[in-house]
Parts: sequence; structure tokens; C-alpha cells
Amino acid sequence: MSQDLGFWAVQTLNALQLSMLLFLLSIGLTVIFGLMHFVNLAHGSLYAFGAYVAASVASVAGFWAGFIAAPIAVAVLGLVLYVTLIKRMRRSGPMPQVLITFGLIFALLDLTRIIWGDLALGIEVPAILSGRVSVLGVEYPAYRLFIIALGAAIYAGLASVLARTQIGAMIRAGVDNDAMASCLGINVERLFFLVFCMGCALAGLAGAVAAPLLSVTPDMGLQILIPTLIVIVIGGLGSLKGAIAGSLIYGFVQTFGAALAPQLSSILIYALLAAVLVTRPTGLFPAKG
Amino acid sequence: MLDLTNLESGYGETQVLHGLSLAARPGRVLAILGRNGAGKSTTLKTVMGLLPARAGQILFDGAALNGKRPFDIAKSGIAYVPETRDIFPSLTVRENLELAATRFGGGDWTMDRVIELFPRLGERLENGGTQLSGGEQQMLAIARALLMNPRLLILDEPTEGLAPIIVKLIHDKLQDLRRKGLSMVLVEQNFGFATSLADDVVVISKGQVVWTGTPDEIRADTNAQHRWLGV
Repeated sequence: MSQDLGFWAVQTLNALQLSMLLFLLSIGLTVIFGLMHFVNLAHGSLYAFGAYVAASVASVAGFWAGFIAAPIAVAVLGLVLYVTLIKRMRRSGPMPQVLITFGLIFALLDLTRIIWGDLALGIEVPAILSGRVSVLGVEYPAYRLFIIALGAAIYAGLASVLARTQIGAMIRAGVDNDAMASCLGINVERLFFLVFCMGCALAGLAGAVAAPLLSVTPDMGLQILIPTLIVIVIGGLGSLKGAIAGSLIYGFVQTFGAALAPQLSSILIYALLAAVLVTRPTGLFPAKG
Repeated sequence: MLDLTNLESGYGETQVLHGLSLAARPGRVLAILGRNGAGKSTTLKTVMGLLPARAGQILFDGAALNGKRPFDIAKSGIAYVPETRDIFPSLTVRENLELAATRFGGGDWTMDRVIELFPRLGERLENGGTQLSGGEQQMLAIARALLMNPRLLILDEPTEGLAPIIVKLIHDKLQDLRRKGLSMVLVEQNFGFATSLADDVVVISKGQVVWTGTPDEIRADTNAQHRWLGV
């Protein structure tokens, strides 16, 4: 095994790229849970739906049209799910929420099969991102660097909104104590709706950016669900810092585990998950409320 | 101003209020006294919409509050200081205050005025909510409620767990607010604190009002004190 500087650079960039993809997915899921204690297991299916929309639109109008259409379409799907199901499940407790959203996984899975069939779809990377760029002394695919930059930019944008804006303060207050936030005149239900749609849009965006890297298949949402849940459990529920920390930990452990100890790689992340649950049952950076 | 009629409420299958009726009048302080578990905090939570009224009526300035959500009730002019203070730990002192100020601006109470009332908060504006002492948290909870420029301020056990010197400070500040004509409903276990602030007193036992009168009358009624309050 080559372990020169180039090896470490490539693995680090691979880890960062996986981390940013997981971050786009986990941030919506964790804030939705933190704000309203709502368990949405169908979040991965929204990611798959985003990938299909991106692939379909890209095939007729190009990559960037799909890149923009996917988050919008998934936000609209989120809106429909919210109005028809999520809103009335809000106060039903975790078990009915888990059962309903678990059922949704299979409903959305079959819906994608009905619309797009079982064959895997693919998207061409746009010309501007199709080459390789020299970074850290290695030639690395520009598209993967784009994913890293996109994830970092979205993290910075969300951190700025949460820390510096009134709506960010309202979201943090709602995560801390939704009943008291409501007593201060904040319409927490509307806030939840906004956050839910934004989380869905980010899941759709994650699907769109993942589509050129992976085959777009109906079960891609199921495959990403467990890693996303591990990220938010390790990071701690309800916090942006938890989502980014959990994503980075997962990305680095998974990537370096596969490169350095392939025989252990499938259990490393679960061992880490168990260690975190034993030492910090609420995760590394849970919301304070 | 606030009229509760035959109110019934509780938690899950446990009913706590059994046909409670009381009235708070404008410009006055109503103290609700009673032993632990009598239904004092449940009454306030039901008024704020945090617990549903199972029967009876809640009127605020003639408008029914039954079935309204807490944020609608807050917008109608009622500010709530809960027993647990419920300072948002992720927010700084300034952000806790601004959360109320930006939504209910335009009234007499501004950031400058609440900091004038509680200068200690002015020194700690950039501190996190959890970095405050119990007394400072209570000041912040009251200041935050005042920034909602309420027509009625309801306070649940504002002296709970506070050192005597802080209790005295909170008492003096609430007395200031009373002199300025702010209507208040005060739930309190501290008999002396409550009766020295109140204009009217009701005593609750087992979810019903069992005694109504003035602070002087309850001070003189040792039988009622002994029977309903264990004083």
C-alpha cells in the first residue's frame, strides 16, 4: 500500500467529500428532530427522489438545470408530505412517527420504480467540473472538490443564519424549548414547516450532487439512511455543530478505515458509534435544550 | 380582564382543575395561593394554552382564549414567566431579550428600560443563558416578559429557589411594576411575598377556589391560613 503524501492527500479529500455529502443530508434531519422531536426516517428517500429529478431534468436540460430543479422538487414533495401526513403526526409520539415514515420509505421507493423503473440512471458531470485539479500535490477530480466546496459553503451559510439572524435565534430557541418559544409569540409550527421544507430541499440537493458519482437507483435512499442516522447520533441531535462533526467523523473513519484496515472497515464506524453512546449518550454536540 | 369560569384541566388522565373560577382585574395584582399540587401552576399553563382546557371558559378582555395556541395568546397581550424560567440556553442574554423585543416592539418597555430595571443584565448581555445564576435567570425571565409589552403579566413562583436578598430585589421590582399599573397574576408559595404585593388574593385547593379576599383579610384569617395553606 502506497502511503506517501499523495495517498494521505487523496484519502483526506475523499473523506471530506463523503463528509460533505452526509452533512447535506444530516443537517435537515437533525434540525427537524431537534426542533420538533419528529423522527423522519423517509429523509433518505427524499435524497433518492432528488437524485432522480436531477437525472431526469439533466438529461433534457443539462446538469445545472437538474441541480436547481432537484431541491425545489423535493421541497415541494416535502410540502405535500407535511400537509398530508407530518403535520397530523406531530404530536403522536415517536413510535407512530417511526412506523409512518418507515412506511413512507417503501411507498416512495415504489413510486420511484413506477415513474423511473428499476434501471440505474446516470448524470454526466458538467464540462467545467469534469477535469482534474492539482490540490495538495495530487490530481483530484474537480467535481469532488466542488462537492467539498458546496458542503463547506452551505455549512458557513447555515452557521451564519443560525448565529446572526432573527430567524436563526428563533430556530435555536425552538430547539431549546418549543413551548417557551411559543409563549414568546413565535409560531413554532410555521417555523417547523419552514425548517422541514429547507431540510427536504437540502436532501434533494444532496441527491443531485451525489447523482454523478453514484448510480441513481431506487434503493439509494435506503443505503444512505443508516450512515445519516449514525452521523446525527454521533454528532448529537438538533445542532449544526453536531451535524458537521458527525459527518466529518463518519467520513474520515469510513474512508481511512477502508484504505488502512479494509478487513475492519465495516465494523469501525459501529464500534465508534457504540463508544460514543457509552461515553456521551446524547452525542458529541447535542442541542442545549 | 382575565376571567376563568368553571375551568377544568390536567395532565393526561389526571384531572387537576375541577371547575375553577376566578377573575383578575385591570391594574391590580392577583395572588393565587395554595399548597403544592393544588392546581396553581396548572391554572397558569391552561391560561397560556400549554395545557388544553377540558371544560369551562377563559376570557381575556372579553375574548375567548380556549383552544388558542400559546403564540396567539402571547400576541393577545399576556406574558408568562414560568416557574422554571425557561431561559434559552443556546441564546445569549441579549438574544433572549431581543427575541421578545423584536416581536412586541413599539410599547413602553424597551431594551434600555429593562436594563435600567435590572442593571445586572446589562453587564451580562453577551453571556449565555446557562451562565447566569438563578436570580439572574429570574431577572432575565421577567425582563423578557416585559419586553413583550404585555397587558397582563403572569408569574409562576418567581421566588422559587432564590436567596433571600434576591427575593427582596425581585419583590421591589415587582412592586415598582405594580405602582406603574401593570396588571399581574402571581402564583406563589411564599405567603409574605405574595400578600405584600397583591391587591386581591384567591386560595386554591384541589383544583377549586376555596377562599377569596384581600391580603389584609387572609392575614387576619388564621383559620383559612392553617386550613388551606398550612401556615
